[in-house]
Amino acid sequence: MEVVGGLKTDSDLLVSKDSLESSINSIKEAVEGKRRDDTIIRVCHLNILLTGGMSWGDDPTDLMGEINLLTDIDCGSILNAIGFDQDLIDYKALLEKILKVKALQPLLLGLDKTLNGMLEKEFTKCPRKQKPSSNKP
Amino acid sequence: MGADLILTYLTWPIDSKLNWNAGLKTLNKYCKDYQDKGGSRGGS
Repeated sequence: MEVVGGLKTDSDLLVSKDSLESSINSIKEAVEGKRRDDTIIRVCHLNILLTGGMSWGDDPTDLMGEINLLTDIDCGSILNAIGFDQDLIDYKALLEKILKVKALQPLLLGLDKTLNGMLEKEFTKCPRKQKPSSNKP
Repeated sequence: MGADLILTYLTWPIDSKLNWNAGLKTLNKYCKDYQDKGGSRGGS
């Protein structure tokens, strides 16, 4: 299929501007709670929009494909402009560690209070990510 | 060989408001830059 006016992503995938606008709208819908393939958890001072699942190589959710597409455009500059944080190495490692232990519970059962509690406990151990004013006794 | 669990995420501060228009403006700028460079952005 020819993509007229296509753009190459950082990984040389050819996409149209329309599909990128559609991806932005999909993420907006997710943030507004209008989708069913994601969950938003609040940990300390952060909202975390999380999506995914079991995969044999494909994107387990449509939203994951949309996020990955935008992340791949100009090093995520569009997502940064919206206000999403890309400096997440510590959080990613932490989330993956906990979610592997918890298997698929948060995605299959929705927001998992136990997971939220575990994350709260873990995140308080990350002083670099904490705002001094947000520390409560 | 079997399926693996893969996840992706986005975060933003609880006390901040997301600016969707800024994202669209950045997209438009990216497209304009891309076209100005003859569609070679991202290529070799």
